[in-house]
Amino acid sequence: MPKYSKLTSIQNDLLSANLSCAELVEHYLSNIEKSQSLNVYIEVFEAEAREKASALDAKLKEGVEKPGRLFGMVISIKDVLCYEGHEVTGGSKILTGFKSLYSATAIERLLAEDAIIIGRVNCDEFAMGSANENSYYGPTINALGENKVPGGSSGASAVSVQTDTCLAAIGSDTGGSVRQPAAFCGIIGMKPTYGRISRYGLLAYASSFDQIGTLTNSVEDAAILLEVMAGADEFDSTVSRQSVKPYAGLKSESKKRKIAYFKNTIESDQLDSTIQSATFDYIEKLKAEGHEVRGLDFEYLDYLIPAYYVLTTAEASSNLSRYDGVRFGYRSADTRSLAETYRKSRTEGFGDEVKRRIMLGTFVLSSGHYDAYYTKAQKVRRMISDNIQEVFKNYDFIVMPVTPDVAWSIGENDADPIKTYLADVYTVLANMAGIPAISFPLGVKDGMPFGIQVMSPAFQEDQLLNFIFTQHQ
Amino acid sequence: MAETSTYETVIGLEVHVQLATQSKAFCADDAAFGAAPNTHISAISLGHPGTLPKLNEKQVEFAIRLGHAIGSEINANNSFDRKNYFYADLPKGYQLTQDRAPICIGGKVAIKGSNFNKEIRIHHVHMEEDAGKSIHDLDPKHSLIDLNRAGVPLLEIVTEPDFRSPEEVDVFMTTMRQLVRYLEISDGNMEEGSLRCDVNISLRKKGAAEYGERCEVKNVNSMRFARQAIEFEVKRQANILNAGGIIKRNTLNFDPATGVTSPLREKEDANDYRYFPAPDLTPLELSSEFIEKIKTNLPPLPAVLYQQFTKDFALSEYNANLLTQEKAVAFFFLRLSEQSKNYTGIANLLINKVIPFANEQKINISEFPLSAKALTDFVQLIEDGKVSSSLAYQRLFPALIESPDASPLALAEKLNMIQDGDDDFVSDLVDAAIANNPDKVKAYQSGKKNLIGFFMGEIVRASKGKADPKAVNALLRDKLS
Amino acid sequence: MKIDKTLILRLEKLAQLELGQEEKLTLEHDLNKILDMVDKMNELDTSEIEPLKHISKEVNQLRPDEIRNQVDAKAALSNAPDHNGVHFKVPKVIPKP
Repeated sequence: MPKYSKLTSIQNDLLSANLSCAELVEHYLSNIEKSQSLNVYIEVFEAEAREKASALDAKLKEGVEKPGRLFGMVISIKDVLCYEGHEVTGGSKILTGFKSLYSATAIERLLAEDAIIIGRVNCDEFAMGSANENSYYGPTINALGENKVPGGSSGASAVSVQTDTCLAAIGSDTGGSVRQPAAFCGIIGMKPTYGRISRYGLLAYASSFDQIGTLTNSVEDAAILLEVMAGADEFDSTVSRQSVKPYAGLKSESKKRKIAYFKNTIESDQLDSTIQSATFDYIEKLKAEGHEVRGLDFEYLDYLIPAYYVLTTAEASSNLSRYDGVRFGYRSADTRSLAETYRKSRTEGFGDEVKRRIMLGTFVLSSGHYDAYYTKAQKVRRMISDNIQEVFKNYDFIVMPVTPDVAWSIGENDADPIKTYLADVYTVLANMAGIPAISFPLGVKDGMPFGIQVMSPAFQEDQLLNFIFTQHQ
Repeated sequence: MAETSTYETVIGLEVHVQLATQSKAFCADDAAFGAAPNTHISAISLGHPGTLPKLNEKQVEFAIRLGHAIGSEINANNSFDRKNYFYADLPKGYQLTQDRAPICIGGKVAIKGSNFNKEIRIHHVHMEEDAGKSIHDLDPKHSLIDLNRAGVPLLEIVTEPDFRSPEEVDVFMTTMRQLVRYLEISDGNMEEGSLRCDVNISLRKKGAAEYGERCEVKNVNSMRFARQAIEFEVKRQANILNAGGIIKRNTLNFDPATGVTSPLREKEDANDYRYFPAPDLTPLELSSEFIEKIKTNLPPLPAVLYQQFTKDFALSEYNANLLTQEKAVAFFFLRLSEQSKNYTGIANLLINKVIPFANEQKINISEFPLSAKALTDFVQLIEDGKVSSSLAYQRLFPALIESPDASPLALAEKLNMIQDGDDDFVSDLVDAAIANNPDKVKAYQSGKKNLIGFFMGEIVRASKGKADPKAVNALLRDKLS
Repeated sequence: MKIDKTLILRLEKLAQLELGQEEKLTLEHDLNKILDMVDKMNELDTSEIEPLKHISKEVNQLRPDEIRNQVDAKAALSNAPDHNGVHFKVPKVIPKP
C-alpha cells in the first residue's frame, strides 16, 4: 500500500472500492508494530480501530447513511487529550491508570465525523519539553537520523505521521509543541488562533497559551481537521464565538501578499547557516512570485523566552495542583497523613522538568515576587502582542524560522535546560500573541529536516491555509 | 478571671452565603444540600484533568441583587482570580474567587439592638465557590471526602471591623439571614451551612486609635457558637495582653464541645495564596441596563416593609418586627391587608394563631389551609362584636381549620357562637352574677377592683361564651359601682 | 533575585514537593540560571504598560442555571486510589491524646 498523504486520496479510493477502511487500518497497525523501537504509542486501540473500520466499511457499502466528513481519516492523539473510557497519562507517572470520564470536545467532533482514533501517543510530560525526552514512558526517537529527538512536546505525534502509522496526529501547542516537532520530522504542523479550538479535555499546561493543533502530511488535511474541531463550545469560557470559516475549501490564490519577516530572527548567528540560507532563499522565492516581502526590526526578540517561561510556569504550577494523589492518579505507598500524601505522591509522580517548572512558577507567583516577575511578564506580553498587531496593520503574514537548528541527539541537551528553552524562541511568539501559525518543510541538513513558519492575524487561518496551499501547488 | 474592662472588642466578619441556585458556580452539577455523598458531581467538580469552568449566570444576578439591597456600588467590570492552596476538599488545588475586582464594592447594613443603633459598613461582596467536605471522625485512620459541596456558589460579604460586641454580631447575622431570604438568593440556614461566618476579633485599649492584632475564628455555623467563640477569644486575648504579651495573628478553630478556640492544625504560618487572574474564565463587563434591571426587579425589602407596617398600618414595632421576619409571612399579611383595614386584628391573628399553626404543622405559610377571605372575615366577626375574641380564637378557629371552605359567619352561626349583645340577655346574666356573689360584690366595692375579672369569668362561662364581653364589662361596672 | 536554600524550602512547601538533597541543590542552581535569563525583561521600560491579563477577547461567558452532565458516585470514585464506595479516603494524622 502506498503512503497516503491526503484524506481526499483515501476517500477517493474508498469510494471507488480500491481500498477498504479495514485494509487501511491493518496497514497502519502493521506500521505501528514495525516502528515500536521508536517508542511512539503508549496504547494502540487495535480492537476498537478494527471495529470502527469495519463499521465504516459497512456504512460505505450500504450507501444509505452519509459518512462523516472525516471518513477514512485515521488519527493518533497526543496523550494529553481526554477520550472517554480510555486512559490518559500526560506522559506522566502521576496519572498512571487514570481513565477519563469524558472526551475532549475536539475529540468528540472528530469522532462525530467518523475519524478513527488508532491510539494515544507519547509526549513530554504535561507537554513540558521540546524533545519528547521528558516522558515517564521514555524518549521517542525521530524516524530519520540516528538516535535523534523528534522534537516536543508532540514529538511522538510527529513520528506517528512520519512513519505512516496514521494520516494525521492531533497534538497541542503551547510554545511550539506542534510546529517544532513537525519541522524536525519533515511534516506540516498547525497551531490555530488562541480560542479557535476548545481546550475542554486538553490537559492544561499553560491555560492562556495552550491550543490543540494538528500534524499532517498535507495542508488540506490540516484545513479539514481545523474546520471540524473549531468553534464555540459550552464547556470552554475562553473559546471564541466567532463563526467557523469553511477552511477545507482551499483554493489556489493569485493575489500577491504583503509579507514581513523580522530581520533579527534570520540575520542571527543563533540560526544555523544552512537553515539561514534556505530561509533567505525562500524569501527570495516569494519576492520572485510577486509578493512584497520586507524585513522589519523586532525589538522584543530577547524578551520572548523570559516572558514565556515566567507566564507558562506560573499557570502550570497552578494547573498541576490537582495532581495530588487524593481523587485519582498515583498515590505514594504508605503515606500517613494528608500532607505526606501530597508531598510524596507529587514528588514521586512528577518528573524533573515538571518539578522544575512548578517550582519556578510557584516562585514567580509568590508574594514579594509577583510584581517583579509575573506582572512584568504580563506587561511584556502586552508589548509583544501590540507590536504584532501593529505589524499586521500593514502586512498579511509574518514569516519566521521554526528552530535554530535541526534535531539534536537524544541526551545531548540534558545538562543545560536553558539551551533547550532558548531554542523555542521562534515558536513562542505565536502563542504569546495568540495568533495562528503553520510550519512546513523547507529543507534538510545532514539528513535531518527543518521547516519554515508563516503566521497570520488572529482568526485568519483561512488566509494562512490558502496561502500555504498555493505555495505547495 | 480575665480583666477585660479596659479593652474594647473590635470584630469584623467574613460572611459566606451559599446561593440557592439549581446548579453549581462553574459547572452544571446539582447544588442542593443533603444528597448522598459524591453524587452531585461531575468530571469538572472532581477537578479531573482537562476540565474547565463556566460561570453560572444566576450567581451573577444574585450577587447584584445583594449589592443593590445593601447599597453597594456594582462593579461592572469584575473578574475572577485563583486562590492557590492544597486541601483534600479542594479538588483543583485552587479556589476560583474574586480577589482584585469583586462584583460589589461598599455598602452598609443597619443593626439595632438593646444598646446600639448603628450601621455596619461593608467593605465588599465577591463571588466564589465552596469547597467539599472532609469528615475526620468516622474512620480512625482516614479522613473521608465528600465533594457534593465542591463548587457550590458562594457570596462572601466582608465587613469593616465595625462590631463592638457579640450582640451586634448576632443582630447582624440575623439581619443578613432575613435579607438573603427576602432576596430569595439563599435559604440562610446556618445549621445546614448555607450561612456561615469567619469572625475576626481583636482588642484595643479603650480610646485607642489603632486596631490591635486580630485572630480569625473560622467557619462558625451557629450564632450561639459565634457568641461563645467571641467571648472566649476576648478573654484569651485579654489574658495575654494583661500579662504584657502580644497577640500573634492566627487562624483558629472553635470547638463547641469545649468552648475553646485553638489554632487550626493544618495552617502552618501564613499561607501564600499566590492569587493571579484565572485564565480559564473571561472577565465580566456588565451593562448598566443589566445592572439597573436587577435593581428595578428587586423585591421589597424588610426595612421597607417594616416602615409600611408601622407607618401605614400603625402596627406596633414589636408586631411589625415579628411580621417582617419572614418574607412569606409579610406578604401573607399584605394580602390580607388588601381585604381588610383591620390591620391590628389581622396582625394578632397571624401572630397568635396562623404562624404558630404553620410552625406546628411544619408547613409553609403559603400552604395555610384557610383563604385570605376566610381569615379577614374571621377578623371582621370579632371586630363587629359578633363573636367574642376568646371564643373565636379558641373554638371558631380550630373549627374553621377542620372545615376550611366554610364561611366563618356561617360556621359561627351553626356552632351557636354568635354573641348576644342583647341588653336583657346580658343584664340578666350580670344581675345573676351579682346576686350570687354578695361578698365579692362587697369586696369589689371596698376597693378590690380586680375582682371584675372574677365576675367577667362567671358571666362569660354562664353564657357559654356568647355574651359580648364588652357589653358585660360596661354593664358590670355600672351595676357594681 | 537569588534563590537560596530557605526559599527552596518555602517553595517546596507551597508546591507540596519534597526534593532530595541533591535535587534541591541542582534545582537551586537551575532556578538561579533561569532567573538570570528572565531578568533580561528588566531592560524593558514597562511603567506605562497595562498587563495583558486575558488573551481571549471573549467576555461575559455565562451558562444558564441548569443541572446537567452529572456522573454517579461509582464513576466519581472509579479512579480513586482509596475509597470506601461512598467517600474518598485519605490518611489522616492520628491526633495526639
